[in-house]
Amino acid sequence: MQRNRHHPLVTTPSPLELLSSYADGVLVIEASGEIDMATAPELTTAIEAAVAGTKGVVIDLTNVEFLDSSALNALVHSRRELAARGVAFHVVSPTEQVVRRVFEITQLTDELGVVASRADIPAVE
Amino acid sequence: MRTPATLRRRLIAGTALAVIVLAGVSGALAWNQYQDNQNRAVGDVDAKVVLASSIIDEAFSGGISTLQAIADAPSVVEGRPLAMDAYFARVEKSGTRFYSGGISWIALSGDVGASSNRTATSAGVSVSDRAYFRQVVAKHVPYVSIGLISKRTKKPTLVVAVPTFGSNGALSGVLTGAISLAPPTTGKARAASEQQTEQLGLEGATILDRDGQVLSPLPPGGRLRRVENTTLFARIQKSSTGTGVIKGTRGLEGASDRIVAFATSTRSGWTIAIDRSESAIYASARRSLILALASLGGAVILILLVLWIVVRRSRRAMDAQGEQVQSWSRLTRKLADSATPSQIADALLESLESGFPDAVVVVDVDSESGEEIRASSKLPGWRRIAGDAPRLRAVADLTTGGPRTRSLEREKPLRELYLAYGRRLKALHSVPIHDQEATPVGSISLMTARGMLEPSEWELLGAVVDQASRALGRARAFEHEHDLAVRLQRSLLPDRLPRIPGINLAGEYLAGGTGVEVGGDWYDAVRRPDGILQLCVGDVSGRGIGAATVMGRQRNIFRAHAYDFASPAEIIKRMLRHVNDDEMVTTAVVSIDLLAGEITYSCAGHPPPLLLDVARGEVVRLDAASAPPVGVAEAADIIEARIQLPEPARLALYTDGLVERRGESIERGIDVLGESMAADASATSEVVLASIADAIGAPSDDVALLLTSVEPVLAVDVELPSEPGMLPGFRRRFRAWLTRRGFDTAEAGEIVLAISEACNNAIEHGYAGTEGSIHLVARIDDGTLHVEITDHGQWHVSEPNDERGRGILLMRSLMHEVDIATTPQGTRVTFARHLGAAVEARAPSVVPAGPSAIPAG
Repeated sequence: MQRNRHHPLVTTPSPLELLSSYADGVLVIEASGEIDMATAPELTTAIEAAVAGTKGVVIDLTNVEFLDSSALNALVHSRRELAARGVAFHVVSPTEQVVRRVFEITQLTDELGVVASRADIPAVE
Repeated sequence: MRTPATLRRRLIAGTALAVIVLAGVSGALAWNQYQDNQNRAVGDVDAKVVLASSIIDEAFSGGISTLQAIADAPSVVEGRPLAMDAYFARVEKSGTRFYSGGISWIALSGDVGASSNRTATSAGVSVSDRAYFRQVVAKHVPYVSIGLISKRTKKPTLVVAVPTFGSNGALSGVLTGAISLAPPTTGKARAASEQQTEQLGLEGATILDRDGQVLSPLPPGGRLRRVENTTLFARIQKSSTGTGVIKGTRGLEGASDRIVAFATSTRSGWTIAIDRSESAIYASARRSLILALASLGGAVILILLVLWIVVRRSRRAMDAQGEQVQSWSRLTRKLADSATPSQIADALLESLESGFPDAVVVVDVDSESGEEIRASSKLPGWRRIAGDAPRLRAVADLTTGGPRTRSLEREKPLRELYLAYGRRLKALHSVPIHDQEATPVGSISLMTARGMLEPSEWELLGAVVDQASRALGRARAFEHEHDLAVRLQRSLLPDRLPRIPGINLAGEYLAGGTGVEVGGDWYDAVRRPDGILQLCVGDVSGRGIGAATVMGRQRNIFRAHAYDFASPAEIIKRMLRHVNDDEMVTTAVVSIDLLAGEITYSCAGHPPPLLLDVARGEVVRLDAASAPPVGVAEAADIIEARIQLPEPARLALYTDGLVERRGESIERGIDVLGESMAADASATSEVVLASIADAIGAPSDDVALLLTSVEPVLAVDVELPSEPGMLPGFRRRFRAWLTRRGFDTAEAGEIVLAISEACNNAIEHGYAGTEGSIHLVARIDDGTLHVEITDHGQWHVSEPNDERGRGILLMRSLMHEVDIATTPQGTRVTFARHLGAAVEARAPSVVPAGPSAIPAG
């Protein structure tokens, strides 16, 4: 009989983690986990934290495994708010990911400024 | 304490001691007597020789006087030989013939001058060389010679000599009288001589002369010789008193172990000695000793024999009494142990069989299932009777109406029985057994060859019946209680286990023993609406109603919290809160998630559940999350572990009664369980139980076993709470299931997104923030996944905008078929997605499906 090699559980991981950084007038929010109905408001809150004088906001979804229409709605809403304040908005989503397909299906790639990597973000004037 | 037994033992010991002391004293007395007798025997012999020697002295004195008288005769004084011849002859004839060898007168020259029997041969014989002649001539006193060989007759002879004096008073010669030592030749004379010897008690006596020559008995051939043992003779000669007894010496002739008594005659210098073996002298003393000892021994043996017989009889009586007491206490004990009427019948039978060895015993007691009738006996051939059920029945039926004896031989309806048993059993003695309400509940019957029982035997039967009655009463109460207990136990176990596609649950409960006590083992299974199956097995220490109550409580805690918590550890932690100080419970909770393909488990003091990977034939012990038992453990001790669920799989949850045997390691039992699972993955729980019993024996304790078989499922049917928080977990589980069923990561991701969108709508619109549930059914059919998501609310569409449209758009773009239908009961979304086929991008014109797809409020 074999002894099993499994280990006791500690915690279940949090569905969404957000890491915000601010440099040179640009707010970068690195998200990892899942953005859905439950967690989309957290993303909105994080984006709204952009202070006055912010020139651009970058949402990096490279480590996001799941993203649904709630997240899209949150992003579109934030983008419109920011656009009204003249803040540039970009979403980073690698092309090979399922998440990228969500933007493509909903034809929001252009509106949300979706790029494959941060290197592709046009320089902010 | 001085029991009769010890008292009796002391009495016996005292008597035996007294007998031994008496025997010793008597023995000593006998020995003393023996010594006396020996001394007396020696004294007798001594007296005889002394007597004999004095007789001889007298004889010689007489002889000497005779000779002196003759010497004074005129013919002798005058020295006339011819006259002397005549005179001597005359004296010879008239006298006592003391001088059997004749009387002679010897002149001083040494020549024989006259003789009582003068013959030609004696003429001219000279005895001048003889000591007797010389001594008498020299000393003028009488003299007795030593043994001589007669010059005339050439035979052993003894000579007594006295001096003769002439008329002038001068020595004239020597007068001699010869005594022939040769035994008399004539029969008459010999007989007279022997009689004389006997009268004197001188048989075996030896007469020796001064030189140690044996005069009597004369050695064969009539020759003279000296005794062999000259040393002894010298010792005798030296004796100052001239008489004595020498013991333990060599005899005169050299024989050993002799007693020699001697007396020396002063006149003749002869020694008379009696020389006999000690044994001959002591013979009579020894005989009387032997007689005394023999009669003493006989008496002692007789007394001891009587004592022994008395002891034996009393011991046998006590043994019989002891046996009866033992048999009685055995019966009492057996009856106390008897839980069923059947056991009571056996106990009665066994006791009565030994109590009445000459009877066929028939016992009949009522039981739940009818009647228990059986028979037994120490009589040969009784089996024929015991095996005859209808006849036993007939016997039992004859026992109504109080203790009584009936004659099998004479009573007509019973005669058939009498004949059936070969006319050997003549009487039937029966006693009915009544319960407390005086209702007959059985009977005891004895069939014997003798016509009646002793009063003491009836008494015994009566006592046995009383015991039996009480025992039957107890057994009834016991049966009733046992029924209750079993019913309670059953009621506490799930009467029905959840039925779930892909999972087969089989629970077994075996009550250990026949006692009224219910055990505290349980198992249970709860299927959560989200499809997770919660299994539990537990064991409350102790038995009885108390244990059953604790068990019921803990089982309810499990059931209640199994819905609230998917986590086994959380459930056990709740169980910790509801245990009292004196209670102890071991439990294992296992959660099977068919969607996630995981097993999560937690154990508290419980043997590890076993998981069999059917495909690989490997058994794994789920022992990575163990804590102390409930009642001992702290909440922090309770941990859980997760392991991937193999498909297909078999899982065994059990209590230690299944695998633990007295004197055996529980490890062995667990291994046997694993082996039996691996040996036949399709074995039913009954088969598993049987194979374990084969390997390590039947369980003695309660056993609970919950055997779960898991097959890969192609269908999912879950009820999900309509709250956003459930979504991540469900997506993870559903994605895992899809992946295991062959969808790749991208496909699974898209499907999960579509389902998530449908759920979003149901949560957001279906219930509009109120609590409800979402019913999701999915199945994989022929390479196509079909999903149906139903809610019981309405999709309220307050404002048809593009935001809401995006969810619908995603669903339609990610699935091959999408249908959204609203009914008065709710909304139903159905999807289909073909395995391995990407969904073609739809033309933007189709998007959005818009309000047309969204049911108007």
